[in-house]
Formats: sequence, structure tokens, C-alpha cells
Amino acid sequence: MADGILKAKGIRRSFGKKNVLNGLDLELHKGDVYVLFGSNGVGKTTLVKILATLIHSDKGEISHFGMSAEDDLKDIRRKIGFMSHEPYLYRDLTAHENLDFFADLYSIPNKEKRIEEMLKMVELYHRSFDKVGSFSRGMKQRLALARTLLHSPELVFLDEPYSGLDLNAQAMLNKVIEKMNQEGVTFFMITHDLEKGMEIATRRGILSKGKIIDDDNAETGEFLSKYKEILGGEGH
Amino acid sequence: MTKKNILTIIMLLASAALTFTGLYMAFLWAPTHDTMGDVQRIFYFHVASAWVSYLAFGITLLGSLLYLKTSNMKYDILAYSSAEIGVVFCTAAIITGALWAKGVWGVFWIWDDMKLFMTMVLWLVFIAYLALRSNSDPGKARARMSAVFGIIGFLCIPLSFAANRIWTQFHPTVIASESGSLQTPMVQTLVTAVFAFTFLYLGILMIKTDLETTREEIEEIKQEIGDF
Amino acid sequence: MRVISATRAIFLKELRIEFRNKQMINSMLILSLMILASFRFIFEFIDFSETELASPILWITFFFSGMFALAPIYQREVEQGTKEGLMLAPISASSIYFGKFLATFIIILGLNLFSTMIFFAFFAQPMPDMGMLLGIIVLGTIGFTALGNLISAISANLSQSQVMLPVLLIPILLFTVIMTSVEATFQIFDGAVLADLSNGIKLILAFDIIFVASGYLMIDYIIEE
Repeated sequence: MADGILKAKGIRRSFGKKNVLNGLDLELHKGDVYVLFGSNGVGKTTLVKILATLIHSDKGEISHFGMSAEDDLKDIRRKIGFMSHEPYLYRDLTAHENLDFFADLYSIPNKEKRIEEMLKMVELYHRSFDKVGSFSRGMKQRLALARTLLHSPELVFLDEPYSGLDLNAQAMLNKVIEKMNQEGVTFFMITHDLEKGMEIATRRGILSKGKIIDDDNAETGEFLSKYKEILGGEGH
Repeated sequence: MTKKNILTIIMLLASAALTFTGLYMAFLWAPTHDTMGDVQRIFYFHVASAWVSYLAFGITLLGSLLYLKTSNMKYDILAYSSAEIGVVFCTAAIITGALWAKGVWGVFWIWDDMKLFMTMVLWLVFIAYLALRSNSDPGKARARMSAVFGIIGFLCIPLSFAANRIWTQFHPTVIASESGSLQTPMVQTLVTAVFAFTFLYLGILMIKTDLETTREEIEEIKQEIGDF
Repeated sequence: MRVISATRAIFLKELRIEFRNKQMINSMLILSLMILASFRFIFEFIDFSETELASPILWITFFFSGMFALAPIYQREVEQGTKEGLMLAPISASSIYFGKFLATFIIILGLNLFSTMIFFAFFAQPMPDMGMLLGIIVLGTIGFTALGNLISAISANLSQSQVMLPVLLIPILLFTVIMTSVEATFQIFDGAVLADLSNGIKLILAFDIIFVASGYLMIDYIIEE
């Protein structure tokens, strides 16, 4: 329990007729970069939203940092970051105003300095005072990364972070993850980009039929062939 | 399950028996009203419908409160079923009331009358409640939203009552109470009609909640089977 | 004081977005103008007492232009996909409610004052007691916005949310805040003094308190997913 950043047990969730998650178990330890692969529509996004406290599971128990979302929701949320498909940015506000708004919501001390630092990190400092509405998809993604990391979360969820990013930005993202990971931040990423995902992962799994097939110990080649097998089996 | 079915059947039988008795009493047995004449006979079922609609909306309030407290879908089903029946009875009360008013006052509706006004408010609020339900997807979010709206809607009743009381000071009620004193057989007929409709309400409510519960169960079974 | 700073952040963000998008404010002002112009021209052909109809004309204008100001408050967060970002933040739903409530209150109040000005320009009225009139407008707008925010949060989750907002709002608002405000405004145009209005004012105040309280208590159930 000492390094139990996140523990999930027996997570179930269904949408309408479809049973998306089927008694899923997961444990994250401090310093993990856990990359979960899976084809489209197998419930990766649902899983990451449940873990990030955005939606409820139908059944199952989750604890973050040894706390339960029932009692300490705000404390948990202060320690987690989530970057989704949606950038969660206001298009009528500038890059700086967006970060400023979230800095206030998370009551970040010394926010001006922190915002500047983050904007420089994602290489958007020169566009600080432009409206987000005028940004390209890739720029929005980068700003979303800045928003996700703004409050120095201890656990970061990334939902398909590479989509919409060009090669440079993808490399930048991996560099940021590596750097923060060395500082002790835990990452949980879902993606279908095998190459980029494998490059960064310290642990990996495959989501299939509502459960995680955890193959920590398998060699890379073995893991890949297993992944292909599962993909083929699902008819994609 | 079977016990509940038997209870439902008893309710409906009691309601049928009382309704027929009530009809007999209202149309043949009760004396004709001194000032209003035969048209007053509609009053028995009008009052009974109005009473049931108030009861039904009250149950919706109760179901909504219990749902927010417990998050048990059972109470959401109760609130919804009761609201739907309530709107039907409220519509009946408004139509019978209008017919009665036409006979007695010469117009279908008196806008200044407090009782008419309150019934109209209730009717509109719960029609909006049903519209809310039909415009959202089944699930917990809908249950919470409709519970909140049900509670605020019901809250609106005493509030608009207070508002109207001040309002009518400036537009004094034209029609004083004309129903006069009721004779004993009239009261007995009224009580019979009220009981008949109350049992009818309870019977329908049981059937309706059963139906909705079954619908939920089917959804759950569909989920367990998964995609097919 | 995390609650206050979160409320303040949301309040400022809402105002910033509203005023950044000048078309939005402009179209609401134009709508008020159009509604009042319609009344003006319709009553050209009908013999009526301007003093008696002043109050309903004003409040119908407030109601419909206010509705359009309320509609996008939560809708926007849902459509632009920013709702989840707000939900992820370590703040309470009531901060979101109060921030948005205060921002829309300022916008709708501004809109109503603009409508009142246009009204006096269009309809030649003997000036009523402006202090009392403004007081009633402020009080009525508080109740309108307080309940409107909660209902707007509900309707943002519904299909046909644009239609559902007035459908849900009218039966509750009309018979409480609007009815009482119309009556009080009527009396003001009729030359009432403050003492005549005390009942009406107390009642509107009570509605304001009840609606703000129910928004505060209920918003948790609406915003949670």
C-alpha cells in the first residue's frame, strides 16, 4: 500500500446494451509509465475517465493514493492530471488566459511564473496572447499538455496523446514524460500507437474484452505478436 | 411478486366496485343541487380526479427526495410513474372542472380563481417534468435531473400560492363560493368517488412501476448478454 | 478561501468569454430592441392604456431576451467539451454555480436596463419613480437568473436543449418571480409609494432567497456525471 498510487478492483461499466468493462483490475506504482494498448472501441477512454474520477463505474472499487473518491474527491483531483481527446480549453480565451483560469481553479501559488514555465515547455510562449480558437489541432494538444501538468500532478492520465501531434511534438511529449517520470510522477497512457507507446513504457498491457491482459514480463517481440493476435481476433 | 399482483388486483376490483357505486350514487341517488342543478353531479368525479392528481404529485415529490437521498432507481421509477398518472388525472380534473364551470358560471375557465389557478400551475409543471424525461437518455443522470426538477416544481406550488394571494387582492375574486352547503348524501357520494379514484390510482401505480421495473431489468439483461 | 477564489475565477472567465464574443451581446441587445419594437407597432393599431400595459411589456421583453442569455451558459461547456475540464478541477459544483450566476446576473441586468431605456424611448410615459422601478428590476433579475442558471444546467444535458430551457423555466418562473414582479411594476407605473410595495418586495426577496438556495443545494446533482 505504501507506493500504491492507484488500485482498481473489479471495475465494471456498461453503456446501454454494451458491456464495456468487465471486472477489470489494475494497480499502479509510483514511478510507473503504464501504457495500455487496445483497438478502437474497446473501452480505453471509458477506463481512463473512470480512473480519472470523471465518470463512475457501475461496480468495483478504486483508491487513489490510498484515498477513496467518495470521501476525498477534491484531494484526489488536486493530485491528478488528465489529458483527453478534448483539449478542455476555451477557444474564446487566449492561451495565457486559459492557463490562468485553471491555475486559479487549482489555487496554484506563484501562478505567473508557473504559467510562463509551462508555455515555454510546450513551445507556445510566443503565442501566449493569441486566442486558442486560432490554434491548430497540434497546438491545442500542446497547450492541453501544459494545462494537464500545470498543477504538478503526481499521477497523469493521457488519452491518445500522440494523435494530432507532428513528429517533433511527439518526441517533445515523450521527453516531457521521461523528465517528469524521473521526478517521480506516475503516468497512465492509453494509445494505439505501438511504436511511440513502447518507446516510453515501463509497464504495458492490452485492453481486450473488458479486461487488461497484463504482460509485464513478456519480451517486446512476444508482446507485439500477442497484441497482433488479439487485434486479429477482434476482427479489426 | 405474486403477492403484489394479488394486491394490484384487489385495488383494481375495489376501484371498479366503488366507481360503479359512485356513478350510481352521483347520477341517481344524490339529490339535485338547489342552485346549480344537475350539472353539479360532475363535481363528485371532478373533486376525486383533482384529489388523485394532488396525491400523485405528492408521491412524485416523495420519490424524488428519496431518490436523491438513496440513488436507488426504484424511487426514480416511483416518481416518474406517479407523475405520469398525475398528469392524466389532472387533465381529467381540468376538463370536468371546465364543463362544470360552463354549466354554473357560463364560462369554461375563471382565471382569477385560486383553485383553478393552482391546478393549472401543477399541470404545467408536471407536463414540463414529463417533457424533461422524454428528452433525456435513461440512466442516473436523468433520474437526478428529474428528481431536482420534480422537487423545485413542487416547491413552486406554495410559492405561486403566496404570489397569487397578493395578486388577487388587486383583482378580487369575482366568484364567491357557490357550492353552498352540501347535503349529507352528497358528502357520502363524494367520499365514495374519492375512494374509488384513489384505489384506481394505486392500482395503476403498481402496474406502471412494475412495467418500468421490468423495462429496467430487460435493459440490464441486454447489457449482460452484451453486443449481439 | 478556495471556494471564493474558484467562484471568482469562473465569474471572470464567463464575463471574459461573453464580452470577447461581441456578436453574442450585440444580438441580445438587438433582440430586446426587436421585441420592444414589435410591441410598439402592434399597439399602434389597438387602443390601449400605455400605463397599464407598461409592466407586462417590460417583463415579457426581459423574460425572452434573458432566456437567450441563459441558454448558452452550460450549453457552451458541453458543446466545446470543456465541461469535463471543469469537473476534473478540485472545486465544488456550487462554485461553478455561483460564478456563473453572478456573471449572468450582470449580463442580464445590463440587458434589462437597456430594454428599459428603449421602452421609455418608444412609449411616451409619465416617468414613474425610477428608484423603485430599478429596485424591482434588480430583485426580479436575481430570482430569474438564480433559477435560470439551475434550469440551464439541466437543459444543457437534454436533447433539444434550446426548446427545453423555456419549457422547464416558464411554469416555475412565471407563477412566482415574474408574476410578482409584473404586479409590483404595474403598481409603480400606477403611482404607488414604497409602502404599497412592501408585500410584493418581501415576496420577490423570498423567491430570490429560495431560488439561490435551491441552486446551491441542487447543482451538485446536475453537474456530477
